[in-house]
Amino acid sequence: MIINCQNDEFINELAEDVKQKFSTILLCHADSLPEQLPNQCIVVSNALEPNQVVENLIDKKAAHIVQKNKNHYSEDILIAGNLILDPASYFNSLGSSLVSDPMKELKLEFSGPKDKSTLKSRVFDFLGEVVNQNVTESVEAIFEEMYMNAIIDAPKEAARNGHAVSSYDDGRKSSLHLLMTENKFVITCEDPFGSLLVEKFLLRMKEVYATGAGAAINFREGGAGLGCVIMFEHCSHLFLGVIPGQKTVVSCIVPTGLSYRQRANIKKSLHLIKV
Amino acid sequence: MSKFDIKIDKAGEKVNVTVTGVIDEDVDFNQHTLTGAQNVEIQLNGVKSINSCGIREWIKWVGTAGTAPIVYKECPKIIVDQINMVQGFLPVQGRVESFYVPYYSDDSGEEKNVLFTFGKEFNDTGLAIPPSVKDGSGNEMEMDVVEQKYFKFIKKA
Repeated sequence: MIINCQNDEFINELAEDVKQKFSTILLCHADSLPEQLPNQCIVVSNALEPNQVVENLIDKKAAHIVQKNKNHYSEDILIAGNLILDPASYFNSLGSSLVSDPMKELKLEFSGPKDKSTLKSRVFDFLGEVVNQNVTESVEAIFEEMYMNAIIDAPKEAARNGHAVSSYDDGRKSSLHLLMTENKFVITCEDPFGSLLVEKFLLRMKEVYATGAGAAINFREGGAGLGCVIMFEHCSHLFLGVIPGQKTVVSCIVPTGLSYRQRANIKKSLHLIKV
Repeated sequence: MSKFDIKIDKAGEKVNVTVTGVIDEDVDFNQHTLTGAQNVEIQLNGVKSINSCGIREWIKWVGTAGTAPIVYKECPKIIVDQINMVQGFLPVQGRVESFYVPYYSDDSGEEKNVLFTFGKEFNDTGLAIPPSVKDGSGNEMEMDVVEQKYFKFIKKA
């Protein structure tokens, strides 16, 4: 790993094999970013608020921002490094590449509004009694936004952009993948449109953070900016992946076993995945 | 899954509204306009979730009340989060009469929602002394929110 970071705490906690594995990737602190970031770069910090994460992605054209929280910093860098070197594995694995050794998993397919209530019941059944109230609330909020994006916004955006596929009429389906490990829950949604315009999306998120959402949602159709902010607010890690015209894959990691306050204090990471 | 339901009770100039269930892309507030109401009270304890489409519809709907004062009662955390995050979710002439605050016990992992009411646990200037809350074993529970963030709306109340 090529390290451009004055702060030892971001280097010392990295496992040696992680440093060795990513010899071509630049690890750079958010406070000392070069004018132009190389493609293979992970920006690290431990102090960025969610709006600042979004601003860094827009202004510095970063793709991976990893924030250092307790215990899993090295693992988070490993995930980011793998996403840089092998983005295809993210798109092919429906979120499985983000965790090792899941205790439980569930894959579901859907293609229309009629599927929502069944799908939601299956998600709640999956969560069962093992998670506390704050996780259930967050997973529900994330599910709502992912589902709405896949069923309403993605086909609409595909039609607007003139994509060959812009509806579920030909039997195409979206997928939802739930994974649970000892200390986190991963929820991934894949739609068959690949219509998410990441740059536009980030600008809408920035607007939502800047205006308190009201202005952004009152005067426009669609609520994608607010929806994405809601997802980001409810997770610790957000992954946005698009293969234009083919698929959009969005994943959220929700930490489990923590109180609301502990969760609210976690600094968030955001990843943009492109092939 | 709790379906959306809305009950409107017009008592003279006052309109009492009870909203329950999920507020999402399927809600239709059009037949429940608040136009002409002089005072509106909305009971929110039964709201289970709200998504971004639901938020947009909500803002449009409360807008039909015009300048009539609106009071939100027994707001669960998901509603407090929207009030804090989304400008206009609580209209400028609106105020919060009461809302729930999550409490957590580090000892037992127990969670509780405690109702804070205007004039008791909070007022226009901020929080009064928060209540002492105990879990099932008598251990002191802590407020499970980042206070600066969760109580931000009180200044608007």
